[in-house]
Amino acid sequence: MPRNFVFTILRLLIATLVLLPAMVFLSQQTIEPVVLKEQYSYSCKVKNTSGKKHFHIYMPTNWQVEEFAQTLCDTLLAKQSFETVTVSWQPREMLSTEQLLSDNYALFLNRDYALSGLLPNWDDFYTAILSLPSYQISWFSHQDNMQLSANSLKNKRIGLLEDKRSESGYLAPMSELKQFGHGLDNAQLVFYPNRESLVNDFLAEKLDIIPSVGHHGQLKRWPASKTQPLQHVSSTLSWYLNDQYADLAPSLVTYLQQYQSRLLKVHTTHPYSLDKGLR
Amino acid sequence: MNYLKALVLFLLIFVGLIYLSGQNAKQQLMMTLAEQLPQVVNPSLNNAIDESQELSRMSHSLLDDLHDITFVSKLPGDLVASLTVTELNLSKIQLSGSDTLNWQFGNHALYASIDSSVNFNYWLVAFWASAFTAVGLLIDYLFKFIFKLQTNRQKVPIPDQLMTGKDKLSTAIEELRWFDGLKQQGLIKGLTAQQELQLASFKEQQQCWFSIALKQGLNIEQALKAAEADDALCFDLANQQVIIHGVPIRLSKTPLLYYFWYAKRKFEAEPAYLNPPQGKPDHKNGQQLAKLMQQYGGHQKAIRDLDEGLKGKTLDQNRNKIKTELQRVLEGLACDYLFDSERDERTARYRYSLKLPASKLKLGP
Repeated sequence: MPRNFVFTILRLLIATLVLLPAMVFLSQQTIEPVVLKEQYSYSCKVKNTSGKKHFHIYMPTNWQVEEFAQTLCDTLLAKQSFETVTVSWQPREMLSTEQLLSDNYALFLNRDYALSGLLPNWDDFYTAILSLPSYQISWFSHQDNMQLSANSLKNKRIGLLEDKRSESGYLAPMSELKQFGHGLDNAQLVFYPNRESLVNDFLAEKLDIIPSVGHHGQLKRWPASKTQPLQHVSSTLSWYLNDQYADLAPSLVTYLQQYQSRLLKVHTTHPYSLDKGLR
Repeated sequence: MNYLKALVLFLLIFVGLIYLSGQNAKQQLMMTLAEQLPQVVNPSLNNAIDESQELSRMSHSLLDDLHDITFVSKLPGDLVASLTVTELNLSKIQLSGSDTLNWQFGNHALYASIDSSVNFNYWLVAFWASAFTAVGLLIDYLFKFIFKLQTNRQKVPIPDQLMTGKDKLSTAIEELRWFDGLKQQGLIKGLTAQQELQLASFKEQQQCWFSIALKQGLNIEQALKAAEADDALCFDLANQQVIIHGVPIRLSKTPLLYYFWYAKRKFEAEPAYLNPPQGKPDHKNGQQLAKLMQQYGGHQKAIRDLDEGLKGKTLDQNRNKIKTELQRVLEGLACDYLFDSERDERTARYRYSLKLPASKLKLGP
């Protein structure tokens, strides 16, 4: 019996093996295209509304966006003519003129010059309703008494942000390096996709110097002797509201002030003064 | 047995199809995700304050896009109806598991592990599995046929065209022992180790005797004895049979008694018997044979015929019946137990005697 049985099984297996190519061929199916939607936005439904409009917000950070959007959905825009609120935080480099025109943002956080670069006559559509106070950008180092000079930068590894629209992570520090760091080798510059990885590598001492506004608890307690303020003072970041929704300005300003004061408290080192209203 | 075989083959193919199409669907999904995940995940992290938190938010958010993914097939019928990603985990830390992806984000890697469940069109799979089973049984039948060819004619070489396509099978056959064919036909079951050894040691002629004995309905033990028995012809008239080399062969009464009569002549050292001439039957020997028939319960008609004397034609007919029956059972081995013939120069008639020497004859069991 066992031998007989084994032989039968062997024959069945061989029969299956011979059929295998046909089975494999039959099993080949191609996937119907799957398109994943972008992940750099968060949406919520506005409460108690029969409206159909979309309130689209852009800001260059995802800090507490869910809470931010939810507040608009649940209270600020409730009973208004909006159906949804969407907050997006894609890289600023992805913002294009076309997108600005077609997405028809209701509100966004950006800088004058960046906006002018995208749409010279932006003030035909948008009004700045609130500005963030300017904040100090500093060089952080592991050495005391750091000075920015060609000599002190020699053989130092300097971390920067990849984002060429970032004032604190790329524009301002790069222009200082240009001024003071004569003979700087490009290989000394290391570019990072976001602030978290930049700061982590600095804290792990993989980098000698980084520019920051103090995005991290440890940086906020960094000894003053190991920091060096940049000469450049950040240009104004403002909230721009689409003129269509000018009537919403007062309630939005109140909330945005709360939001940005918390944002600055968590994410900047140096004393700052909160400007009230438009500057 | 055949139903069971078909069922086993069907299940084998069914499971095979499920496995193959499931794997293919998952592989296709992984390819798509490998291409798309970095494209949607990375931009969201550029302005993220906390990467891990954002990765976990996206893990949930992406799941919504990944249910009921459908597939198209080249052949009619999609075995996989749809696929749903049940779990997606994005992480900065390397993840274990079979379905994982990784890609670069700036200076570090990101990882994704994916769990998915596949919905099959089970009826369609069953349909194709049935079709394949039919083809599979055909192939199996072909193999069995080749195998029989191999065992029935021990030394028949496997034709070349079969060697090429079915190497595995022919190798399997070559490895089998001579008696595995008998097992295959269900003629031997439950051999003891000692019996196997004994069988393996048999010479070719013993193998033949063993097979013949089994086909004559002997059990394994008796067949083993027969294979090792002496080359003898024994008459067992009470049971209406002869026992050749230990193998019993039943014969009709009349040919058996004629056979016995020839054997008795040989045993008693009488010369080869010359066929009587036509129209001149041999009364003396006829009476002797009739007496034998009466003694052993021969047919009345055969006995009455002998009253007219022993006829050459009757002798020829009965010798032929003996020959036919022995050859049916013994095939090539029969000739040693048949007759020698010799032409008589004077009368131009033939004389016949048993080939076997008297020493190998036994007239009673």
